[in-house]
Amino acid sequence: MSAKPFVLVVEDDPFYANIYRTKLAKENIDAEVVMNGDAALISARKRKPDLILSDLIMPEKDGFQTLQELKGDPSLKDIKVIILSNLSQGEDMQRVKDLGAEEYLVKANTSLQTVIEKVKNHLGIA
Amino acid sequence: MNLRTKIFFLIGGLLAVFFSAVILFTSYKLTKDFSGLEQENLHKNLDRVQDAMNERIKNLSTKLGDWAVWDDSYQFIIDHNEEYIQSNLQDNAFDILGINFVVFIDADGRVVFQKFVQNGKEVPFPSTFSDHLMKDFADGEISKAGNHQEFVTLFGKLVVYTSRPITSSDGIAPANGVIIFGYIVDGNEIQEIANLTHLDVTYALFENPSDKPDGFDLARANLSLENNHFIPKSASSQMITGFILISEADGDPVFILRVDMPRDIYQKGQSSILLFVVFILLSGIIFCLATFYLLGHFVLDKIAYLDQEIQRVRKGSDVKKEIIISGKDEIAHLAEDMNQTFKDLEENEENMRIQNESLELSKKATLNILEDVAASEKELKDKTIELLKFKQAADTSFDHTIITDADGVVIYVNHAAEMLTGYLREEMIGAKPSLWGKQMSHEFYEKMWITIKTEKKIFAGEITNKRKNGQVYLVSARITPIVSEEGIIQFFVGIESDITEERASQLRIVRHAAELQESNELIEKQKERAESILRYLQSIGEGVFATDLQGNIIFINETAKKLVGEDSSEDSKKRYSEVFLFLKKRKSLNMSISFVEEVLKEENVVVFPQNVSLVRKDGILLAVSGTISVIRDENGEVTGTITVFQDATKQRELEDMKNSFLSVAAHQLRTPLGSMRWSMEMLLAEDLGKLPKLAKEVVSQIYENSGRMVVLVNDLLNVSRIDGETSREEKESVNIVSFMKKVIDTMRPEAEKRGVEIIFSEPEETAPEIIASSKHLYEALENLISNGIKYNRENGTLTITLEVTEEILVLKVSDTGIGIPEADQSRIFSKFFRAPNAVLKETEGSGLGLSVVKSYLEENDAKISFESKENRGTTFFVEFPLRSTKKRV
Repeated sequence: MSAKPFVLVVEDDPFYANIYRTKLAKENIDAEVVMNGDAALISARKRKPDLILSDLIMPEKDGFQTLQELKGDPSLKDIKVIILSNLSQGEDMQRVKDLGAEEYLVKANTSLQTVIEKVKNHLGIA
Repeated sequence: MNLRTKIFFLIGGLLAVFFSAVILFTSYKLTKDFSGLEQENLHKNLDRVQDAMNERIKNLSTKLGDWAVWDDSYQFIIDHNEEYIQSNLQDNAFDILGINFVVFIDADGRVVFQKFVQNGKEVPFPSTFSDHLMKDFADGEISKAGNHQEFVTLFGKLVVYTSRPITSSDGIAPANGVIIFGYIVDGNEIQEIANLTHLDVTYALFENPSDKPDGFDLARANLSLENNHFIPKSASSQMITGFILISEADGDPVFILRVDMPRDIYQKGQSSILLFVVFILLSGIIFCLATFYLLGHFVLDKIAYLDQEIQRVRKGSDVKKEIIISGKDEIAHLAEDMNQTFKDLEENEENMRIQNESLELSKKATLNILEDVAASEKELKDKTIELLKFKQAADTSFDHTIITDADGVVIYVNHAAEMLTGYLREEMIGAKPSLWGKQMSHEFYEKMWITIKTEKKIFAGEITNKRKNGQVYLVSARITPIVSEEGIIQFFVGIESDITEERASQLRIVRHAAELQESNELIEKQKERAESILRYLQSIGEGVFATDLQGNIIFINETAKKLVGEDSSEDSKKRYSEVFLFLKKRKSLNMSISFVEEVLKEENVVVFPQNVSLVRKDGILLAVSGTISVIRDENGEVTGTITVFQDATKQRELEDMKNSFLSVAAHQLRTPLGSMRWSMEMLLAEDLGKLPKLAKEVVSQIYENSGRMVVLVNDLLNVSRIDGETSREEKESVNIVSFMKKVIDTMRPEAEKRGVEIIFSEPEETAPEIIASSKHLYEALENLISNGIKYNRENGTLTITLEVTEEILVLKVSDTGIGIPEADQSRIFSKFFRAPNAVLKETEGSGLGLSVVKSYLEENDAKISFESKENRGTTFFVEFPLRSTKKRV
């Protein structure tokens, strides 16, 4: 792994996008924030991230589809994905787990601190 | 082995052991003593040799003393005059003095004069020796050299020297130098010491000896300054050897003296021991032989003779001849006793012979009498057999048979009569049949007597009799009068057979028939009732079907057929799974569920879970809700199952709409809330720069309040049971006591903050485990306790108790708070309802808490209820059923 870990964030809400950008930079983690699934796939193919944080409800290509395509691509399928959404229905959670995501966090129920800890855990820099 | 040999070995063996012990002990002790004596002697001799050695040196020292206090010597040290040397220290003077060298050293430690003479000729003074001397005297402190004498090893030889300070003859002037005499110790010197001590002495240098005497290496290893004598163990029987170590004044070992000494003491000791042993052995043998001879003569010979004589008598030769043993000891007495005994035996034998003869005579007479007796016995036997034949004939009859005389007195009864009446033969013979009769009316008996006695006809009829044990029985009787040729009644023969059993079974059959009639009517009624129930079930709006224990359909109504799309002409008697396939949506997969098997296994009622569908015949899925339970007969035995279900499509659609609305609503509410909370977190973490203290406090408060909104949103979802984070969980076994403790522990800080004391009293017996979804149970109990704290008064208490009965476990949560107004008690579990006094006390609150509590507890089969008085407090009761196996019959 290069000196600085690289995290790809998929988030359409500019408010959240901004928070991710600021907080990850503060934690000395190289991060790129994209607004939808297509952009995420392009970015991931260009520079393979160590971890992907993805929202579920997004315009054009949503989180479910993005996850499916990521896991369907042999060169990308081993990237760990954490889903961060405000949906909390059991069905959604199960679907995401079945598609191969590492973890499912409900944004409003999770502190930012916890999110950062989990990210670090998955990056192995805890 | 005879007596003689035994005694010989016994005495011989004992003496051998005794003498061996004495010899071994004595020779060990004596050898040890002699060795000790010998060693002591050798040590003394070693001391003597050393003393002789010292004496030689002392002589040299004394000679030197004369020279040291001689004024000429004193003068010589000062002026070194040649005259002193010429007149006193010519080559031959050395031989007279018995020395090999002389050295003069002045007060400054310089050598004034030195000379070395060997075999009468002067030789150069060996430099090694000068060096050694200079080492000792170089410091110039002459006075210290007084009376110095020692052995040293120099130029590979053993040298002895002695030194003295040189003073004036009057001893007044201080020492101005040192004079040293010395000589090489050689074989002659040692020989002189040997002569002096009358011992065999040899020597060897400690380091690099020219030739080593025997045992030198061993002695060298064992000798030291402290332990300068050594006597090795391995001495020969002729000689014993000892070693002495002679050291320099400073402790360096110089040489070893070997002293050999003949072992006189040891050898003398050995010969004494040998003499002693020979003496003991000889005396032992003599004692043994003497004892054996005497014992043989006085005892054994007599015994042998006695034995021989008894043998003779036993063989029968010359019985009259007596056994004669002279003397007055026990053996002689024994012989006399034997003689007497033999005599008595002889007399007895004669008596016996006479008796035998008379016995033979009487035997013959007896035999004659016995022959006569046998003849009359045979006659008796033949008659008895005839009699027995007759008795057996009557006895083997199964019917009660008696014979009476003309007056009715019993003269014969058979075995069957005994059995039937219960009286013994002896009791019956001589009595009248009234003994077991007398149960019928007086007229009956009168009529019977007329028939048999007056009319002389056979009587036949049924008579009730009474057994000896009081039991009454019914017989069919036949009494026949036996009349003589003259027309006089001689006997009556009565034959009876028991018909009690026969009559009783006839009665039973009649009664049974009546009962059958009755139950037939009952069944008819029940059938009608069942048919009306079936007609009702056929026509109701819910689908109904019933199965037997094997799952075969035994009933199915029209609605059920319609719902599943089954052809109504088809009969039941199919397996239910061929008709009804229920699916449940789980993890976006449809899984079939076997309600019937499940309910038969659990023997209870199962309510269909959510999302159950029925597969219609045309393949379309139909959303259904329903219940299934076991059917029990009047004895409580399970005989089958019954399922009632209905079309739940509309209901399911509504529910789905509600759920998706709530889900979207929650998402939309959470999105801005979440981002605000994360931003505030960053502000508080000062990721965006330092905040003024006051601003930080305000942000912190907003953060906390926004948390309440998150809880509100979550509560909303919880009430609708659609929250994926909490509503999907498997049930597990929960220990309620430790579970309760965990809940209380998390609530304690809050209680302390509000000044409420929590008291938890555990049940005395171990509470059984309950089956529950632990996360929901936890939240429900947490909520109850939280309420108990929040709506309590200050310094109030919250008491939690657990009671266990056989069937339920009751948890009581009792507070001392504001209570629930009576008017509001019915609405307390409704969603969004909060009692006015609660709103007043705690402005925060969604009104969903108790509703969620109730829903979660019900999910775990627990019931919740409460008792409350305004301003006094509320007690909530939670009842958990205990599913013990005992409960099932």
